[in-house]
Amino acid sequence: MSEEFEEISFDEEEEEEEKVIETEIKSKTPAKTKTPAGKKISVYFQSTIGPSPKQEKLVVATDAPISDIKYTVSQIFGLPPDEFHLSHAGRTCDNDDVLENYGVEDGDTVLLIPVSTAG
Amino acid sequence: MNAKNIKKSNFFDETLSKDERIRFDRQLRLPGWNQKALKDSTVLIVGVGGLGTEIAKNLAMAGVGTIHLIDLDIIEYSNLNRQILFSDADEGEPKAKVAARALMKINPYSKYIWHHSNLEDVDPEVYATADMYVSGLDSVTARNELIRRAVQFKKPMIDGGTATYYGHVYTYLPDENACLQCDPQQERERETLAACTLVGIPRKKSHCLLKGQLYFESKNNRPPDTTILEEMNLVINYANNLVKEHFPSEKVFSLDEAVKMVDQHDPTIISINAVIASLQSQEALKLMHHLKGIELGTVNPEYVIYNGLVGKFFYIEKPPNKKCMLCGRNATIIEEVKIPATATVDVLLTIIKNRGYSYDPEFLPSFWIIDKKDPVDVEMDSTLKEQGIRNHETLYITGLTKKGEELDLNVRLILNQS
Repeated sequence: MSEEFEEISFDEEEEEEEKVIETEIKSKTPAKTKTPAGKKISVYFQSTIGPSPKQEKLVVATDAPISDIKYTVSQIFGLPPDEFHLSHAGRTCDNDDVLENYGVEDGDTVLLIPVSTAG
Repeated sequence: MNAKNIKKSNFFDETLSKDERIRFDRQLRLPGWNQKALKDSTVLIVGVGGLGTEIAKNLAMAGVGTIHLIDLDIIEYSNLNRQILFSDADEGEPKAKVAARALMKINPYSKYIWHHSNLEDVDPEVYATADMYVSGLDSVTARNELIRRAVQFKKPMIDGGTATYYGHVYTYLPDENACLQCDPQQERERETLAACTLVGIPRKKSHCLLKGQLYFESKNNRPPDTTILEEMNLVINYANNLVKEHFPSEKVFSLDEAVKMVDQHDPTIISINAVIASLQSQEALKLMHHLKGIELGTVNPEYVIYNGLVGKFFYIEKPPNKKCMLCGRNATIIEEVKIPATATVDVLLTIIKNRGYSYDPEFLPSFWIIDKKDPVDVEMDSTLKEQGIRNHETLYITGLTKKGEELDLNVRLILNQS
């Protein structure tokens, strides 16, 4: 997101890692690695806004665009998508990005936070 | 012995007049309190609206010595449901100026300096010499401008914001937690009258209402007045006929929906503004003690969310992002240079060269003044003074190399006044 060069090298690294795991699986227990792209994970979505903040467990694809996830979440929570941001581990997720770039893993909690920009 | 006792005393502190000691008596009794720390502090309040007026009122009443008020806006009648400092003012008067006038009545023992200006054009010396920035801004863009100054001058910035019944408070503490660019935010999009999207069949329901507005404008050569029922009826009848025709499964616009969409303003209520502004003020008062080396509680480094619909708070930890382009390891380096105002930019370039930066003599580096609303290109052969370069001004320089690597550089100028 910040630097094209770093992103490219990051992708290559990850591909290599996946190959290594495949060969390892045949012989030994696989080492714990980052959730690979496209995998489905369970994430707890917790709202901080609305008349009754609550938590919902959803299965999402790690390579899903944030805007798609926000749309789905908005339907489930009954909150307009432009009234909240998704936030994970202190990072606010950008609409144009994908979930995996925020390091979201199975069992993590993602918050719905207000878009409070008015003064 | 006597002198030492007086120095430690709130009630007999010699920097306070007798009137001030009586005025502040109840807070002088607070455990750990130091009134002098407030008196000696300089705070920037950036944005003097729903939050800014409340913050200014709080900090002035508490006795903060110097308060800068920055706002570009003028007063509108619709501000009066929440902006206490403007009650006696006329519509159209500058907010910053009227706020300073009102604060002088509230507490005449402090200094109020107003800037009827956008924050970008305020003299960099103001940012360099303040102790902290408190923001009551209403856009992502303006917050980004302020956080750059906070990061580069290493000043705490107490941000606040509201949205309907919700709000947030977040104190950026240099080198401790995330800055606002650690996860850059985009400005919220608004539906606007883009003529090209409105030709032909409406693709979205909202386009029907925009077409209703255009219809009104074509008949009257001016936009509809949202406070006049007949005018809004014209707009909404036109719009809802289109909705029935093109979006038969959707509900038609109600009158209130139409008013909010035609005249777009953020909804706000004094109670939410007051909660958020008070939290910001309280963090500011503690920081004023801390910056003078006096213990008084701790500033919350977390992002605090307030949900006024349920009366609950939520907290988010904000670790700094090492990859942040503003405060991370790849951030543009800042070199501080002491130089006479009468020096030419060419002399400045030589100083930079002597600090280990090089450049292609065929393509001289470019210098930009960035502490302005619109960046200004700087000329090489005239003096800093001639180009209106101010003390503490930051110049952004492109086209340099160091150890074979191309890089951009920020140079902060400390001008020797002769």
